Order: sequence, then structure tokens, then C-alpha cells
Amino acid sequence: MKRITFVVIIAGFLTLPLFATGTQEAGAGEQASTPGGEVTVLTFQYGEDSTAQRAIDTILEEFYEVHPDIDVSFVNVPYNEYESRLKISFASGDPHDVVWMDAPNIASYAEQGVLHPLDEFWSSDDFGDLVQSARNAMRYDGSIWAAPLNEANVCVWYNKDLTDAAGLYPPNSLDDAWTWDEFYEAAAALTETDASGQVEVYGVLPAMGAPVAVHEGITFTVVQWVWQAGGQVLSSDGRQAEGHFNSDAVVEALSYYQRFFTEGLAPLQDISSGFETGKIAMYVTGPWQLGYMRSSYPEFNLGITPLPVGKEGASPTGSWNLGITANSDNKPAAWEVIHALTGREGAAIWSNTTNDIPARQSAFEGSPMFEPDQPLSIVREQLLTNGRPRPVTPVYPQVSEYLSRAFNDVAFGEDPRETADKYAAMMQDAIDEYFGQ
Amino acid sequence: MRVDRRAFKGYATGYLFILPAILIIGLFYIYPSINLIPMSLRKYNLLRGLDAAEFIGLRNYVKIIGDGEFWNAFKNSFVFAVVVIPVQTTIALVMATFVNNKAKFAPVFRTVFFVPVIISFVVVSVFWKQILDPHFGLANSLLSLFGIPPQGYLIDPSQAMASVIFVSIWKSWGWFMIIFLAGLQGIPRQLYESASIDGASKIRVFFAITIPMIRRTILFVLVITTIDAIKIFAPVYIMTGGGPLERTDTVVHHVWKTAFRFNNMGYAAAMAVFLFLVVFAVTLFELRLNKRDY
Repeated sequence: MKRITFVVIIAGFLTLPLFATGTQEAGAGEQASTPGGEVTVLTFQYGEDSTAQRAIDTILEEFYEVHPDIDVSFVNVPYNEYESRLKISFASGDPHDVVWMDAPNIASYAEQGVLHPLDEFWSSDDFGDLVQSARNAMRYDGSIWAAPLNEANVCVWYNKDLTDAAGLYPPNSLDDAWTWDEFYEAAAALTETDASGQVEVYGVLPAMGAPVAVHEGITFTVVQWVWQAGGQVLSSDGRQAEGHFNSDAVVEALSYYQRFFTEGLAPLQDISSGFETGKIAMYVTGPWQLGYMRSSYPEFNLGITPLPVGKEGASPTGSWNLGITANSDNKPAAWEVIHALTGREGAAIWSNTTNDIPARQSAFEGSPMFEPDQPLSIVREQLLTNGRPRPVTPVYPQVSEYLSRAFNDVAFGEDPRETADKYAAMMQDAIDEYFGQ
Repeated sequence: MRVDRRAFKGYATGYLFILPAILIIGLFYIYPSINLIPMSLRKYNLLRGLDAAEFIGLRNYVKIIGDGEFWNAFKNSFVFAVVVIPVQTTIALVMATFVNNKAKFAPVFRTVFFVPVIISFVVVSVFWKQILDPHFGLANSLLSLFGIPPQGYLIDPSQAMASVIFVSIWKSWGWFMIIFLAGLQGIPRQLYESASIDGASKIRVFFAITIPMIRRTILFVLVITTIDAIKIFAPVYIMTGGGPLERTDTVVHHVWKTAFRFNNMGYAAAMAVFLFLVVFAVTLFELRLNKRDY
């Protein structure tokens, strides 16, 4: 019996969502004009007093006044299990009405037919309020499939106390952005070692986390090195990794990234709150941590400078988006929920509360955080100037994992050329297998 | 042989009692296991569903042969098993002998040693992950008392597998200690009495009486430990996610990743069936050893 226990894990995973969604059929009735009934929303487990949860609560409070007949219930899943839980709920054929999706996955979900197109709900005027990168990300195959909760981008955050002490003044506009060499030299200048050679302050953490983990956050914060070196992860049609992920440009990006770690300017291990507590001087990451930092480290002297510019300037875009599932039996009400959370008003509340970058021009304009003299104005400028979406492919999960692992592996000293070849081949296998070659 | 009606009635009640267990085992263990085989013969994408999956014969199995990722995971699982089986079994046996006496403190130790067994592996993994945190964990604080520099444990590629092995043994050995204890208590006292009259040393008694008398128990423990070790999943999933540098990616974790992260259910099913065959073969081999001895 024991030898097949592992199957139970699979069986358990498969059946859990069935129980979780078992009740959703009831109440979703035959509404005609004004939407009502029950809408279930699959989303993350935001912390109880997180800014995101506060934003949702604020928006819903108003929502219930306008739509007393719609009953919204949230199914909260821990962040690192979210993606598999979402897929299982799709696979069960009885998914939730509204789901959260990461931008690069929209295309593959749309292609698998598990999403309902939103064209009938969007007015073109309202859709035009989205920033360009978000508009691109929502479209696939001639339809609109999702509504963005917010945008995202990556900058270099720095500890002003440490840069001041080192006599370093990072650029504060995109035009003056560091070159790769200048960024490297800044990291070297900010690294401090004690008498015995132990590192006391690391110059930089050049990704969202140390190179020991594999998750979307790593991919999102390293992929710009590929683009900046003039390379791309996959061919534009998404069918070729060989010849792209193992191009000279990608090898150069991997070599550049590797130096920070092999020369001791960047930590190989995660240092919890290392940036906030001054153990890491610069941090390549996005504004999603800003809300937490402002509340937990109000004294922290934060500076933001654009990503360095290599052969070209480039920064990643695309965040979380809301869609309606194809099997939802209450689509009009589901749209009302999405619209409340991502419409002009909702988007403004969301980004003002969470400090996330809005995906709507109106929300940018109404927010004091993005005024030209504010540090976050750089994020806005960068997003609108050189933001790029992550590769679009139905095998994005594999591509993303292999991309993160390539960067992790070279940080631990693997040869960049061999690493690029290895993962390009693995990406290609996944693509070929999917398209049946 | 004529079946006694009354006895049969007694059996019927018995079957009624085990019916719920049989149903649950059938539905959640046996049915999905059998289903793995047709799944493994298809190009089955999790999102598209099984109905849309094309039949591709043994292609998924052929793919296993050339899949470096799979063999890396296989090697990791193998290393895990080769270390855990002897180490855990030895600890459990020695400690069982130690607590198998009438001393006042023995029951206390028996309970203490058994506590990790009743805690969920998930909980164990979460708190050992905290203890082994390189910067804030208890483990490095203790080391620093002795002037030993901090270690990376789970996030150091050279220590990660050892750390997972340590946590797994810590969690599981108490269970096997109890099984050995049951075996030890079945040994007739007279054997020990006559040995002590003959003036045998404690170590001599252990090897000449204890070990041979619980041979059957030892083999049982070996078989169960082997199966448990090869299908290790929870601590890997929670503590390392297979990393760093895939040094702790075990077969079951790899199967899970292929199925639920990469949506490739068909290939994951093929790997699971392959693993089943390997475990089945190893178990048969171990049971053979049993036969030869008795």
C-alpha cells in the first residue's frame, strides 16, 4: 500500500478543488438584466492586514452598496501554491468565476479555451485608459482576455545612507541611467568586507532573491539582463529557443550576472530583510514591496534609480490580471466584480493603497506617488519607455523555470556558455513536445 | 469445507467494519494508481483534460531514458535512500534496545522519541526550515556558541541533501523504534537469562540473541524504510523546492513538478509508473532475502 501512497498526493490535489468549489452552483441563477447571485474569486492569501487586503475590502464595501444582489466569496490560496491550484481548478471543469492570472499565462489559458473573452464587457474608451504594455498583455488572438489589477516593473533600489557614505550619487532619470560597467563599479564600491575578509555589506542583490530559489519573481527580475545584452529568450513566434537562449547575447548576460556572485559583490544566500537592514546596498526588484517597506521600515532612506542600460534599455512588465473562466455560470456578475476591482476607481484605490504601479493612465495621473519629483516617477518613466513583456508561449512554466535556473546556476559558478546551451535545449524540448514535433 | 452460518454472520459484521476503509483505499489509492497507466500512454496536458489527449503509445516512457532531469532526480532519491535506510534503521534499533528496560525513565524517553512521529511532516518541515535558516535560525546560533561559522544548510548546494536527510530521519526514526520495541518484547526472557548464566557480555547478547530473534522485524523495517525513502516528497517540497541547483529534486517531487507546474500529466504519469516498477522490484528483492533466511 505504502508504495503507491504518492499517488494519493496527486489524487488529493485533484479532489480538493472539487470540494472547495462544490457549493458554487447554488445561487448562480437565471438573472437577466441586473446581475446577481454568487461569484467566487480564486486569489492569493493576502495577509489579513496587508495593504492588498485593505484595498480589496475598501473596494468591496462600495461594491456591495451598488450591487446588493451579488455575493462575492474569495477562495484564498497561498501564493506559492496559487498557480497549481488554478490549473487544477481549470482541469476539474468547475472552476471559480473570477481568477487571478500572471500576465505571461493569459495567452496559454486563452489558447486552452478555459477563459471567456471580455470584449463584450469592455468599452473601447475604458480599454484605452490602460497603459500600452497592459493593453498588449490583455490581447491574444484578436480578443481581450483579462483586466489588469496593476502593472509591474523593475528598478534598482538603493540605500541612500550607504550610497551617500560611499560618495555615490545614482542617476535619477532614465536618460542618465548607469551603463552595465557603471552599475558593476557601483556594486563593487558599495561592498564592504571586514578585516578577516567576511562580507559585511553586499553591493547588490541583482535579482528579487538569492540564486537558490526558482520562482516567477526571479524570472521577472533577471530577464531584463537578457534583453539588455541584445538577446531574447525565445524567437518572436515563440517556437525557437535554440539559437536564441544560447545566443552570444544571452551568454554575455549570464557572464555579467555571474561576476556579481563569483566576486563576492552579491550574496549567494537569502538574507532576510537584508536590504532593509543595510546588509545589501542595492536591490534589483519591483515596487510590490514598497507598501510593506514603508510600513515596516518607515525610517529607511530609500532611493530608486533606473535599471542600468546595456546594449539597449529594457525592463520587464506584466503583473496580475483578472479573468472570467469559460465555465463560469454567472459571467455578467463576475464582470461587475472585475470591473469594481480594476476599473478607474478601483485601480486608483488599489495602487494608492498597495503602492503597486497602476495599469491605467488615469490612476497614474491621479496619484501623488508618481509626480515627477517622487522616486517612483522613475518606475513610471521606465515602464512607459522600455518596458517589455515576458515571452508568450504555452510552455511558459518551463521557459520561466529554465530561465531562472540558468541565472541561478551561473551564480554558483557554472559555465555560462554550457548553461545557456543546456537550458536552450531543454526549452526547445518543451516547445517541440507541446507543438507535437 | 462447510461454512458455519453463524461464523459467516460474524464475518459479515467484520467486513462491514472494514468496508469504509476499503472504499477509501479503493477510491483514493487503487483507482488513481490504475488510472496512471492509461494516462501515461497519452499526451495529456493538465489544462486540456484527458479526453482531448492523444494516444502516443510508449513515447512518454522512451522519453524517460534520455531525460537528464529525471535521472538527476532518480540519483537524488537513490542517494537519499542509501543513506537513510542504514542510518535510520541503526538508530531506531539501538534506541529501541536502550528504552526496552524497566528503568524508571524508559517510558519518558519512549514518549519523547515518539513525538516527532505524530507531528505532520509538513509541520516538521516548516519548523526545521526555520531552525536551519542561515541568518536567524537556532542551528547557527548554537554553532556560534562554539565558535563555528554559520552554515548554509538547505540553501548550500553541498549541504542541502544532507539537511533534508537529517530532518527526515529526525522525523521518522521514532516510528521504527516502536516497531523494533514490539519485536524486542516478543523475545522470550529465558534466552537472556541463560545467556547471562553463561556469562555472555551485553554486546555478545545483542548480536547473538537480539538480532537473530528480531530478523523478521528488521526485514519489515527495511522494506518500509526503502519505500518511504524512495517516495520522499513533503520535506523537499516545503524546505527546498528541489533546489539549490536541483540537488534535492527527488523523483516524486519531479513528478509533481512535471504534472502541476509544467502541465505535462502524461509524462508525469509515465515517470510515476516507472518509479512504481523500481520500488516494486526493490521490494521483491528484499522479500527474497526474507525467504532465504527462513
